[in-house]
Amino acid sequence: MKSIYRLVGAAGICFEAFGVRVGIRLNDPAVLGRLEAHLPPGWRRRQPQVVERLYSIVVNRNAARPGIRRFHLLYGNAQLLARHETEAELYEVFGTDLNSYLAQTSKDRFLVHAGVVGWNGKAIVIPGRSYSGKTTLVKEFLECGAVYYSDELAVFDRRGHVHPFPKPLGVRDKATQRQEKVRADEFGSEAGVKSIPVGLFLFTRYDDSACWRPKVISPGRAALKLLANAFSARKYPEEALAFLIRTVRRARLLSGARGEAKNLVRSVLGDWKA
Amino acid sequence: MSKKRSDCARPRSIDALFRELGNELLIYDTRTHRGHCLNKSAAAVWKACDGKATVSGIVVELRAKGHSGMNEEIAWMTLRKLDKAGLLVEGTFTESDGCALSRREIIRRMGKIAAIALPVVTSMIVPAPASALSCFPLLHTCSSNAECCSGHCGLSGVTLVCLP
Repeated sequence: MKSIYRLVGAAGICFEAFGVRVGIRLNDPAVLGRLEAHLPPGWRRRQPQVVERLYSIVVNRNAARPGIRRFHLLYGNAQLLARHETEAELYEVFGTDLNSYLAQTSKDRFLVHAGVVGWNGKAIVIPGRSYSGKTTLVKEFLECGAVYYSDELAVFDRRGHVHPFPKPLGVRDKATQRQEKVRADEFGSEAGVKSIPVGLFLFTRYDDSACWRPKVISPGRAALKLLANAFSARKYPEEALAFLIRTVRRARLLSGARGEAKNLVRSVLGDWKA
Repeated sequence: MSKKRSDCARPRSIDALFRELGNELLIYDTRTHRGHCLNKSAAAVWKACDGKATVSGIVVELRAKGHSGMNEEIAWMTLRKLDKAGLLVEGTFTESDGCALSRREIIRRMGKIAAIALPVVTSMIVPAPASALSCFPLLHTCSSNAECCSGHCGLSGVTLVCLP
């Protein structure tokens, strides 16, 4: 860590998000403003003190020379996390790593890998890992007028309510599988601002030969499926079980394979009871 | 008088976190990081497995508690499911003990209505946090292709990072 300290220290910030204290040290104060877009919703600045995770960002401002590549560096504690020639890409890695760390360590909030939209004051939560089609479904719901909460993380509090995490949607290009960031307002949607109770958990996966004919599943099986998508389940299993039991008790629980997203969304919203 | 097979096996359930959710029981095995959901019948048998009670004793106990549909065939089926899920201590129950009727055979004998009381054990692995994440973007450090959105983890200089 001492060698990293020599590189950074011109500026820094200590903040708290989801009950976890994080610090960032920079060798260039101008970077701080650009990093704020990658901090989680609801973050709060704190006085400098002991933190649970320390990021160090070293921006290379040396003049470009022929044949020599300039890299910007990102450290998480003493570990090199990424090095890149463009700052924007480095900050993306920072944002991803920060979210992952917060998801694993927060005890104030329980984070599940899921897409979330709001409909008539209740949340529709779509748990699933990468490539499960969450963003496709979230996009479809937004185009039908749902409120955007997240396409990546469902953030539950102790009451079982879900909080907004309205980062730009990561829409994947089918050819390259690279993600393009798209804001919710580009779909004509607004982002959620307050926490809401869960009305429906949708456990589904894409199958091009499937028709959406969901089954109602039991709360226990729903909790198990959520556990498999939870970040902190291994580290805090008791808290995870408590959170899950609270959240599944009052929601509708549907499971099944789906074909086209449009058909699922029309079916779900058509059957919606306030 | 020779002992019945059901008097020999004394299954004992493992130590694990468990929480009740209505009629179901959620169990988290902190050794293997597997989660399990047991329905009412399976939960009742699991709770009765204390290492001392025999299988026939478990049947008697559960019938007294209102599980009128419980019999030795169903108890053995439940124990096999629990053992397969890793919820019983090794050595207290073996596959060769008891009858080996399949679920289908039991439903055929009992009828579909009574079959609702049959045990159900659902199990799922709780992945390590990195696996629960979305994939890593380009140039994030990685250790395997599966971690990268691009599906390619390769050397960049001396570091393994996600490459196009």
